[in-house]
Amino acid sequence: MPEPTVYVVDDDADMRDSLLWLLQTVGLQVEAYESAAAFLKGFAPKGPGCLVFDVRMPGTSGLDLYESLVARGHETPVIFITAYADVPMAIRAMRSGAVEFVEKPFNRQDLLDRIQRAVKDDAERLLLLADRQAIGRRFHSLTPKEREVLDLIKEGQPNKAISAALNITTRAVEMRRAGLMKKLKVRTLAELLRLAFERETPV
Amino acid sequence: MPGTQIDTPGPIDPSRLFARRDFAALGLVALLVLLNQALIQPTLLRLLADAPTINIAGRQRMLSQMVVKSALALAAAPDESNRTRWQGELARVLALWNTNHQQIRQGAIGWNPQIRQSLETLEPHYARLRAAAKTLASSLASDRPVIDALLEAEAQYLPRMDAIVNLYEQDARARVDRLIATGWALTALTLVALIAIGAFILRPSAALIARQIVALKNARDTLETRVKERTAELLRVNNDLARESAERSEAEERHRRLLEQFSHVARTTTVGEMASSLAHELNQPLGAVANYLEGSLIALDNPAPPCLDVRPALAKALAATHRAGDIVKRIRQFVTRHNPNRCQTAPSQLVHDVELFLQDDLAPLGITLELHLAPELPLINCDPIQIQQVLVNLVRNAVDAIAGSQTQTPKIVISTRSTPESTVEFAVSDHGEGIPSDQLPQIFDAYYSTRVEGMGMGLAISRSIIEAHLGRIGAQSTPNLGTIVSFTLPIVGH
Repeated sequence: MPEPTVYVVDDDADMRDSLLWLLQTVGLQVEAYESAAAFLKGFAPKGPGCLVFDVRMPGTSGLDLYESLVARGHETPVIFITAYADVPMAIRAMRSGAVEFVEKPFNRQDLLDRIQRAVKDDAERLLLLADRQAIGRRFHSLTPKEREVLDLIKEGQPNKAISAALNITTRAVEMRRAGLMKKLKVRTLAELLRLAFERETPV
Repeated sequence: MPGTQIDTPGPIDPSRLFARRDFAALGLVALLVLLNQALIQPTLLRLLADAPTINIAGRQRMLSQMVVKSALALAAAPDESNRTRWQGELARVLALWNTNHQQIRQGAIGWNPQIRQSLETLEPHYARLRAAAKTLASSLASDRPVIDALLEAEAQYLPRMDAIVNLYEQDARARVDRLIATGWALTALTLVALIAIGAFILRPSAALIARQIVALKNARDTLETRVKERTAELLRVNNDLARESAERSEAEERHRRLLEQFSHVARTTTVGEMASSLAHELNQPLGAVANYLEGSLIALDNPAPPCLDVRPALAKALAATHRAGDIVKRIRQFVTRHNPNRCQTAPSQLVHDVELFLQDDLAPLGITLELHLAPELPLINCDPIQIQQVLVNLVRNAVDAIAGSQTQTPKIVISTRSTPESTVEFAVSDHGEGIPSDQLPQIFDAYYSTRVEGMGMGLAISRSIIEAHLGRIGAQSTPNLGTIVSFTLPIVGH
């Protein structure tokens, strides 16, 4: 997996440059942008990351920028930096899915901790996503007949009942069951069920 | 509306009632005239005709005596010439008497039937008398038996004729009496009719007319009075309107001028805005400095990426501190840029101007602004706009304090008084949430605020303005009861 990247968007040159320095000193890869437009042009995440947006900016505000990202399907965590927090702003931020909210003047260590945590969460999210995608592909490789059997197994039916329900021999049920477990790379019934149900819960 | 309604005697329309009565009266009068024509006039005419008939009857009596007298004279005539004279006389009288007799018989028609009966019984005696007279008139010698017959017939004839004349007279008198009675009756009827007309038509009509005249007069008088009153009222209202309009336009003009002054001040020094932008401006370079230094410390402690050089970061931090310094310098220039425009000012006027300025803000919030201003305060030496700014700031703080409390009738009071120290004290009090006593000493410090969103600049700037005027500012507060913020300004010459 590629190195995590922090994306800083702040119109104030001092703040932007100093944040870039601060984050680099802890070994983070940083991309800094002076405006929402510049950020949207350059933003192409290849690995885990974290967004650090200034709320008050001329033109598109940090909140508006994040909302447009969410609308485009991005799920990268965000940390908003604001001169002073007020309730409506916080409510709006929460509703749009933002993870953190930092008030100026902020504690540097606190900011760094939050960024580290956000980056780590994002990396985990991406790993899980990749995992899910791999599992998804395995499920896709099942034949329709194997899928029928799987559905009945999920309902808790024993082989005999399955053979009666599908009007096939118990032997045929056993063969299909062995086949789908091999394709899904599971060894026990417990593993099979965990995988099947996990797939149905969203990330 | 008194006096404008005409009294009516009943539900019937008086004019219609009198129209009916008028017709009745006219009918009555017409009836009386007709009665007069029908009863009195013919009777009068009859009376006129009666007189000759009665005359003829009387004359007949006289003629019958003349016949007898002429006949007797003829009989006793001594010579021929006398005889011839009396003969001619007898013939003439006899002819007259005869004609008269025929007229009487004709004239008796329409009289009392008793008269005709009497005439009938008279007839044989008349015939005998006439026959005897005729015989005497034609014979040349006197004849004794004829004369006796004549005398005898006359003795029968005369009393009967006398009776007939009396009957005529009686009948005529009776007619006159009837006529008189009828005349009196008609007169009485006419009088009754007149009385009735007077009582039932003229009197009520006159009364009604009199009432209507009085009512009309009253109505006219009332109308005139009302018109006068209304005119006076209209004039007064007009004057009031004109005065109000003048006052209003004056007030509007004042308000507009004040608003101009304040908006000018507000643009440059509105306390909250200024504090907010100062905080933001200073936050930027100071935050950057902190970032540079923190990063540098991390880099020095743990040179994980060894390529990072701390030196340029430190240089940038230094530059940022210079920029912060520049901002501070700019603020100082900003605060001291305007030399206060001091002039001699009336304290009450100052407060009234603030009231005008704040009215529009307070009214929608349901907050009453009360002024308790001491009369005849001495003039103070101040920059009126700065002091008004302080007052406006204090009132706005009071509004915020009230918003945090549950007061039913929110009210803010601005009061003024003169103090023994030759100053005028202004006080702004509210019944808001109050300030805890441990926080009270800090409220005039910069960047201290009891409100979450407060910048903590309002009271600090207020204090600096008041102290620049050589005055003092202070506050008293009881939590949940309210706060009084007051300041003093020296009066002119002290």
